[in-house]
Amino acid sequence: MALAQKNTKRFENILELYGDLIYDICVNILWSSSLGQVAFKTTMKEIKHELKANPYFDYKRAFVLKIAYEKLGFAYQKNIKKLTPAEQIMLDTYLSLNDKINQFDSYFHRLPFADMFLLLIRDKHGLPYPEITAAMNTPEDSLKTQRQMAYRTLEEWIWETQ
Amino acid sequence: MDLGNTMSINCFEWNNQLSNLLDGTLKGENKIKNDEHLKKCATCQKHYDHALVIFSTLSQQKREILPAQLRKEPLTHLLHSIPQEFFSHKGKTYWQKTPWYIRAGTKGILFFVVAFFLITLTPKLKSLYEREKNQNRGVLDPFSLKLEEESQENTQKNDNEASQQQSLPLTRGNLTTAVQKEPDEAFLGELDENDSETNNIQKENIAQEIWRFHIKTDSPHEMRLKILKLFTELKISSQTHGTGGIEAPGGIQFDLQVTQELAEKIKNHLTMFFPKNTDTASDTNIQNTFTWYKNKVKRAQANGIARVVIWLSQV
Repeated sequence: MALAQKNTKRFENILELYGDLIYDICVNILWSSSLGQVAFKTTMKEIKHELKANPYFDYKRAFVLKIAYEKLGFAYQKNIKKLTPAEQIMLDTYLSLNDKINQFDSYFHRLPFADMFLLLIRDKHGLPYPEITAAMNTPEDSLKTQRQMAYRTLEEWIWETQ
Repeated sequence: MDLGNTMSINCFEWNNQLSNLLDGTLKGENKIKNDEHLKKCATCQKHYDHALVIFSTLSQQKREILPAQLRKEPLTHLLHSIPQEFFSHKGKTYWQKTPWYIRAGTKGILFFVVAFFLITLTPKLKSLYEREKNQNRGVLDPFSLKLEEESQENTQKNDNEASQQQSLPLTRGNLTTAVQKEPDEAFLGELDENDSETNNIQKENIAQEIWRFHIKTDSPHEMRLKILKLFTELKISSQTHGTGGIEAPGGIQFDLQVTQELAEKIKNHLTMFFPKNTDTASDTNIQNTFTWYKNKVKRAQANGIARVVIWLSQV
């Protein structure tokens, strides 16, 4: 009974600390608040399951992010949003630079899932590399290269298709 | 593009440091080298400016806040809290409003009724289908049409002969009783009385019957000539399939399809060839010389057509 109460408390604590972060990542990557809610619920369910399975494990942000990364990956594959050819042509040719920067989300969501996740938690939320390494199960140097490549891709889409 | 020297870095090295440069983690000598490269290389400076724009856009993006409802119940997303009436236009139907046990009972009864009808109707439907199929075959089979035409001609030309043959003995039983009876009745008397299905078929005049004659003889070839003569007398066309007879190990077999009337005529003639001998001493031998019987055919056959099989076995 005490263990169950402890688990509930820990779960509430995780929700309080990282709930906003996970929800923001879910909604931003899936580009939909309803899908984001579903993904958030799935992630929270998995976290609760992990808490029950390993009650004495010290859960930190990296582990929560790791679960979110896995669950979001599945959700993204199921609900992947692809631009129509017309939308892609419009984004690539007809828009001015300012409009393109205003339409940054459209370019951002053309990136692969891992790149989006990395840019969001690194550049938007400013999480340190060690935690990202643990969450994405990728070495730090690879993450830096990946980030640089993602920047280069976005730059090509926005500036070099003028 | 700066190809680089020993003191400064080239574009490739600068690109590798871009992530650290954006994070502001470059310090000391590395930072000085990067700054020097940016001053010299316009391309890298442009890339850096673009990267800064992207970085600022990303970092300034609006952060989504977890809704209060979801924070309160994180394992149930908001859509669950919306009442079901919101999604349906008309609300629950009458059927949905009825209690589950009534719905379950009704569904069960309906299921059994449907199953019962299916079980009972399937054989009837099957028999109807087969009957229709047989009728279609009878109409479309050119061989049977030809035989029917021949039989009509025979009946018109041989009215007198037919009337005489009706008075001939029909069975191998008592001659007098056989003469008194009608031909069909005499024949049916020989059939198995329990075989009501066969009788029904006979009454409905659906020609699904086979006549088998077994003649034991010393010389099947001589008997074959007699049989062929009989066919000629009965005006069975030599073109009819099976009239020639087929030599098989142990004898000769005729297998032909003729009209029912002709089949009866063949039977009458053969009975005349082999009359029953009343002599008790040789009774057994004579009875074994010629035997015949009629049976129903399982295979579908055209209306009014009977199959006649005459087997001349070598003694």
